[in-house]
Amino acid sequence: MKKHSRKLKQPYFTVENLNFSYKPDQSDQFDWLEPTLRSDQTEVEDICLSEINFSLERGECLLLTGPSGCGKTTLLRTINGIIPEFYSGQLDGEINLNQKSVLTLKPEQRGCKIGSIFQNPRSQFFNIIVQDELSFGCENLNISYQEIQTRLAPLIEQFQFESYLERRLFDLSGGEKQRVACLSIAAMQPELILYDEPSSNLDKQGMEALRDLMLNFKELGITQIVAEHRLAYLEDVSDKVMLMSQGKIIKRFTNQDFQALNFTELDKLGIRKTKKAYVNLIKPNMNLVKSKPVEIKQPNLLYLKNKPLNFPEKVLKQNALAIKSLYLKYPRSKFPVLDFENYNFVDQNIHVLTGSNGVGKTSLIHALAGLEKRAKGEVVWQREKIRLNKLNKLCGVVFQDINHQLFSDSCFDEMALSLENQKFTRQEIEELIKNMADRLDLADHLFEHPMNLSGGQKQRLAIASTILLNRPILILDEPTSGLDFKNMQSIANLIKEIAKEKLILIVTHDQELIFELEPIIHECKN
Amino acid sequence: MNVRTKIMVALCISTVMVNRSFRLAFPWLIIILNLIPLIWLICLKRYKVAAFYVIAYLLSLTYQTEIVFLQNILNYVPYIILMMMAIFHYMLPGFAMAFIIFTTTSVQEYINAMSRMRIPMAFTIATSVLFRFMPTVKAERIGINRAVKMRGITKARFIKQPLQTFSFVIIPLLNCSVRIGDELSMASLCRGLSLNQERTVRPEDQLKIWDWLVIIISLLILLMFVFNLNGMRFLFQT
Repeated sequence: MKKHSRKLKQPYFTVENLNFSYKPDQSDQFDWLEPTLRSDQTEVEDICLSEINFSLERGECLLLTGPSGCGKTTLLRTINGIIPEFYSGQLDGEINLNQKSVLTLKPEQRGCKIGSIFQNPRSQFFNIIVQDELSFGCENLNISYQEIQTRLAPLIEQFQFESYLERRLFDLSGGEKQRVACLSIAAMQPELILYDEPSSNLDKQGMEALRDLMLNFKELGITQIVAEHRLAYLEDVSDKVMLMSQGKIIKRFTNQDFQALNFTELDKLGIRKTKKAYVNLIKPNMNLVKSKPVEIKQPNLLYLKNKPLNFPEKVLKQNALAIKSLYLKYPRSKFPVLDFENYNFVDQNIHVLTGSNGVGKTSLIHALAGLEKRAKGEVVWQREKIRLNKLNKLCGVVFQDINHQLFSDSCFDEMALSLENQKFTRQEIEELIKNMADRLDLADHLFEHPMNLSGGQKQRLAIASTILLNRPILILDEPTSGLDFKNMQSIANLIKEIAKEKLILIVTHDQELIFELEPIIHECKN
Repeated sequence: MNVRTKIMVALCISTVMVNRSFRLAFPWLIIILNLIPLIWLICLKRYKVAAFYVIAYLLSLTYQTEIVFLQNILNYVPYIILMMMAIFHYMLPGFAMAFIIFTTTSVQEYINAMSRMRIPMAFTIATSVLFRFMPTVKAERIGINRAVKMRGITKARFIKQPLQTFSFVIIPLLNCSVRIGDELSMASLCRGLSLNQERTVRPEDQLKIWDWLVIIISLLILLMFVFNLNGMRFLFQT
């Protein structure tokens, strides 16, 4: 009798004594995934899980946080079965869902109970049309066609997805893709949903939509585990918070305790800030904040449109960029993406462009960098009128997907490539690169292949090679997406330093980065 | 139209077209089969592709022209180019059909059709990735070209150091493709895509009378083709 009652009390989802190390078994056959595994950042070599224990009740939401490479992703992978199916290693311990062990199941068998949402929205859809993608998971489970339709109908209605059904997934923005992934998982009616940094490509609205979705799942009694750097949007979703470091759980909080932590305490833990921590910080120093151009709650908005400015004296100063006219229309769309006249980037060297996903920020910076052939217009830079297609000689751009701009075999070559046409001697080149590597903390990795670096290092390498191009304007597109607090801060410091001599335009949603930089904020609207 | 029908028609056209003796035996049928992709393209409102098809067809036709003026010119064209033109001429309708299949079929339809034809899932999944991969590679390439241009790698460098410069484009492309492929297979595994399973049958996956009709006609043409083969004809005569 006693035994029976104890069994009833057992929580809904438990992880017991979970250990994992990536060291591949010698007995294993040759693994075709090995080369790609190696490119998969630092987590391959040394990070493993040790003594992970936790339990969740039905409908609870757990927030996992900690610096990059602390084992959050690894933990999620052991739960959804990617480990040991994809990455070989030593795994022991026990994972129970609804009193049944899941460790023995293959990932595709776990799929009907455990849904996973990944970081990169681009690479998690298998179909081309939204509608197919929504029903894809269910069709794999051999659920009847009628049943799929009845499951999808309320979801589509609730999230106003009617207009999306026929669209191509390639044409959607990152946030929209992420919502498609969530709905597709929801249609499979899982009992547990895992999120791996779901917000790293989302704007404010996207994050709010994601939060609403999570709250909805919670009401449906679905248990959720979220691994995340950005904590602000999860404030009223999470029930428990776990802080991980080097594969161990180092601190556990209830949500109330966690939200009560203040700015400096969070700083000490090395994690990003909760919303409350910001509000608490700002309130006592209200005067100070006012004198600065930034205010977190209501930023100093400068609308790109409806504000005709004649070129004032300032524009004629150094490091002032002014758009005389700019027009861009894609052949497929009805309305122009960009259409404005007489707009200035003056007063300060750091400018931030914000605005919701798909509003045209990336198009704007591509046009300003002279990389968009279809854009028409004129730009004034240091008293000179410049045609748009000449601008690529003036601008250095760090793209959103940095993997696109790392060409070479080693970090050294990567930076040397930037110096190629600048008439330096071999010695000068080496010296410049060494200096740059020292400043950006890349000196130890100078002869490694760029694809072996971690996300933060890649980001710094891309910035370094762009700086070395020695162009007066530096444009950064989402430089901190997916970075943890430490990396974010080091990039912010770097940007501040460069800003002494260069004009910097940054596209970002990251409120904390904006807070660090104290820039002029330009909000983009349609 | 159902995927299976499309595949059948494509199979029929591309097989029959390349055989010379069949072309000589049924010239009218050949003209009709040549017209099928054209009409199909026009129905799909792919006017540019249709125009391209017509132009390419006419151009490749010149190798067997009887106009004296053109023949005089052709005398100076190397024989290998003429041969390539002839081969291209034979295979053009097949290419057009492949284009039609790729642009009108969704991954879902393709997987369902293949599994209903009892084709092993291992083959189906591997080939279905093609549908998803083409647009991905295209999008990646645009991004990489932008980065190349931004870095000031010019066309002059392409001529000076072609191999190294080419690697600047191809290495990031390969890296991104591998990464995306990896993440994609993880995501689809977690959604329950596996090798031995039954999948949901959609109403549009079932063959209709119209489909059967087209399939039977294509099969008949294929049969005619088989009887017309040289070796076969010999078999039936004795």
